[in-house]
Amino acid sequence: MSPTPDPDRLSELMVRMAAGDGAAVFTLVDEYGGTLAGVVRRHLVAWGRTDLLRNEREVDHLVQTAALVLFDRAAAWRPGGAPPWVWAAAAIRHALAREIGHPTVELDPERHDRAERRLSAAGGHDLDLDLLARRHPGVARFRAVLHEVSSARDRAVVEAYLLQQALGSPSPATIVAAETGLSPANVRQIVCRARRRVRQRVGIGGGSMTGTEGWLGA
Amino acid sequence: MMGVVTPTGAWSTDLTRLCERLAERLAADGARYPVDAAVALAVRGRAGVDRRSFADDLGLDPDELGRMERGEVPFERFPPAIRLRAQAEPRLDLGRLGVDPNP
Repeated sequence: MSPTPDPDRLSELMVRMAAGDGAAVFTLVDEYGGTLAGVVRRHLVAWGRTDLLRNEREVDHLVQTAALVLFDRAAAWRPGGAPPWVWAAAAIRHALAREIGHPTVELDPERHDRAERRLSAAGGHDLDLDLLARRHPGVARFRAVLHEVSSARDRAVVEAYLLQQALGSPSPATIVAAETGLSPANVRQIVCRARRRVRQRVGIGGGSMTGTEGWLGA
Repeated sequence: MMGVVTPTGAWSTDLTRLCERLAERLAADGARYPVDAAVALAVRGRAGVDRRSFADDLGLDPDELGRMERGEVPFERFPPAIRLRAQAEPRLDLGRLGVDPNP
């Protein structure tokens, strides 16, 4: 298991990468490559590419790919939230799939270009709660309440869990656990506790959480 | 060995390959010596510190270090402190990168 990420060190490296410091990419791979390798291996398993799992050189190449994705997107990451590899999960998945030539969906080039332009206009995020919160008052309200009722670490865990859920992960708790150094049971406990507190705070049952808010707080 | 977690928990990557990948980006950005710059970045990246701290540690001018890392200076004009570190890095194959370690 990878060591628990040091949030201060990780933030420092992300800030340096955001400023275009290429040396920080080498440091990121040195210090967090084991965690990135976990992300890479989970994708390879999910795609049935166990042949690549046994190829150390290939896994290492994909770890570097994931690090370069974080380098490119570092400026948009905010400390205190989900770890970068959780926050950029969709972008990493896309880059890995491209590297190994994994067919994910039938590609409609025109549709893809339109989506890329929309993402670019929105700041280049794949799935970003900041962006969602700006567009959907329900998400903004949920996050505001979550901020009131939970610690920074718990918020990061809950948001990472919800992102994984939204990305269709079959086991969000396991993924978030691997990426935060917590146990899956601990992750589920944090999410349940936070949801319970959010429900209590907004008085669910009184019908005050609807739509997106209800989904997030369910 | 590459692509494995070392006993200290660090990841042992193929530094030469990562240099090549960064050099491609630096070249696309117009760097004159992209591979040399990537080597300079790798040396500092392995030390795990920012440019100013690294320059202080080695008694270098941070601005001059910045020029090396932007690809404005060829490897043969790097200060010995950086050249020696690059040569001593076991996972950095200067020959494969086309950098002459003994100019």
